Amino acid sequence: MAAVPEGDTHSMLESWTVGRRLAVGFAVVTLLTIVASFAGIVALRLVVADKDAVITVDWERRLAVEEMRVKREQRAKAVRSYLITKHDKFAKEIIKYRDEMISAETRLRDSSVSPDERKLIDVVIRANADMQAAWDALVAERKSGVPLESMIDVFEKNQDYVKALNDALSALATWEDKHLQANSQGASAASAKAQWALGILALLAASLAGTISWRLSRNLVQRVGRVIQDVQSSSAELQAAATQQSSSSQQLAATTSEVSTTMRELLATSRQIAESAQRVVQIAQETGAAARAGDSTGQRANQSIVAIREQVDVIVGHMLDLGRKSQQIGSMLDLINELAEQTNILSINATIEAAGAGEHGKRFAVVADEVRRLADRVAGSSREIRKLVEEIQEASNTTVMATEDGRKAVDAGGKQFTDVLSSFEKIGQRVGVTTEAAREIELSTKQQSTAVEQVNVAINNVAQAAKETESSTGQTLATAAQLATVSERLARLIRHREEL
Amino acid sequence: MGEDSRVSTLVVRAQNRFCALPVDRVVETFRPTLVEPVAGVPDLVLGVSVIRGETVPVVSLAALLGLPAAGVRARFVTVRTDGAVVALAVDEAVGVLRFDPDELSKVPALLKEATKHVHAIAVMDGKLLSFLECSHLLDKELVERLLAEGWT
Repeated sequence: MAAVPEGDTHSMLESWTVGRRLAVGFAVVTLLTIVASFAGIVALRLVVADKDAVITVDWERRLAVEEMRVKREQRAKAVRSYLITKHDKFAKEIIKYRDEMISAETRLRDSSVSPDERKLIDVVIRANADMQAAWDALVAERKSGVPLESMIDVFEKNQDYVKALNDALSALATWEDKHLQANSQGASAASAKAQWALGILALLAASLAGTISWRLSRNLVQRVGRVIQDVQSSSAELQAAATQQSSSSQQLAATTSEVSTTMRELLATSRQIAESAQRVVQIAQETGAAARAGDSTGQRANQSIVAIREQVDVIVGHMLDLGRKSQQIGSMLDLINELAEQTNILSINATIEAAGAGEHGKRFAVVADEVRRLADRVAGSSREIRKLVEEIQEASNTTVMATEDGRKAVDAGGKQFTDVLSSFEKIGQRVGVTTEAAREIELSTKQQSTAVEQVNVAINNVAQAAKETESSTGQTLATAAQLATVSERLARLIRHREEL
Repeated sequence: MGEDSRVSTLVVRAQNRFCALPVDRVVETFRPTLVEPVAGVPDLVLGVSVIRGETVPVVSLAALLGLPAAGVRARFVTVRTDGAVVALAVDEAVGVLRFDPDELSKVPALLKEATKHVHAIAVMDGKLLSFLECSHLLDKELVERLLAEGWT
């Protein structure tokens, strides 16, 4: 079994209830009583056994010795009777007593308790055997017809055997007496020891029972004292709580009155909200109609924008065509330039040739110079034309870009109109949702008014309950005061008990 | 002096400088053709080109006048030197002009040090006109080497 720590044992005992502690204490005392009683029974049985041994065994052996003496006397008497009368009856008695004597000797010897006793018994047996042999010889002589008078001497001689047997029996009786006395004293001593042990055990049980009862009483007083303290503390808290509850009930009554007033104002406000919601529904319906009209206008404007976009596309196409034509003019100008340059070169070479020809080439030189000048003029004109064409191309590009910007603006406008149309549609949807929500608000507000009226009734009920709570709080205060008085009386009782 | 004493010249332009070439030395003017550069020649020689089936050295007129290497080189002018025909790369062929020898002035010493090919100067429309001596534009050995190694 595992050892239980002292702290755990203490806490375990602390956790026991009072009833359990009382039950355990009484159980322990009862157990001690049972143990003491059992020990007393055992001691009594041991003492009785010792005494019984003294009475039944030792005294029986002592009586057996005396019985052997009696048998010896009865046998001697039967021998004498037979010697005198020669009746067979006495002969049989002789045999009977002899056998009983031998039987007693054998029984005593077999149950001897010590070697000394056995030696004494052996002496008795030998003396008895000698005695028996002498008696048998004497009886045989008498039976054979020897006269009684002639046997007196022999009979007297046999007295030695008688004496020897008597001495042996006396020695055995003396030993048995001593043994009896010794066992009797031993039994008395054991009885005295048992009495002492029982007394000590009873004293221990009484002291333990006293200790347990003292601990139980002390513990009970402590626990009851703590409970009383708790009761006193609880009654004080109960009084404070009841006082606070009384104050809270009064505040609750005042608050419920204010809440009731607020509820009436809320009811009036709810009715105003319902009227406002009706007006909102009307305005939302008008807004919906306006949104539908705006949507129709927007649809027409969108169609116009689509037409503008198509016209802008046509303009862009024309301008791009103009640009392509300008590029063709540029190509033709390149060709003209090429021709003018070639003509310039040819005219210069012709002038050179004319100069080399001297007087014959003068007229040709004049023509060649004119040709060169024409070529130069053509080149100058083509440069101007190129410049104009480049300006046209630049203007065309600018117009195309501006047209592109215009088309983008138209697209943006169209998209914005689409957004506007979408917005009108959303406005229509939102107006529908708003109308529905306003109707729901109107309905909810009516329901709210009904709920507010119900809440007003409930608030009045709460006020009534607060008044009842205030009344019951007074009763609680009285009960708490009584509880405090009872706990004080109980505490005085406990203190008195502790003083005792 | 009658009209016969006037000198016919082909006036060309290199950058902002006008130059007069004697007409009797000029073969023709034409657009620039493909020029193959040649290694180990002076900077004024741009290379050689094939003109009317003949290999002709191409000389930069601007470099010949000591001007920095720039310009459009829009025309080639072939001139007959004493050794061979040489193509001058010019920016513009202005035209054939005649000058009275009295209008010509000697080349100042400073300008003469800059180029040895200008033998006279004149003023044309407020601009300086340099008269070029075309007989020895390039050394004979250089011309022979160009014509011999130009296409190797």
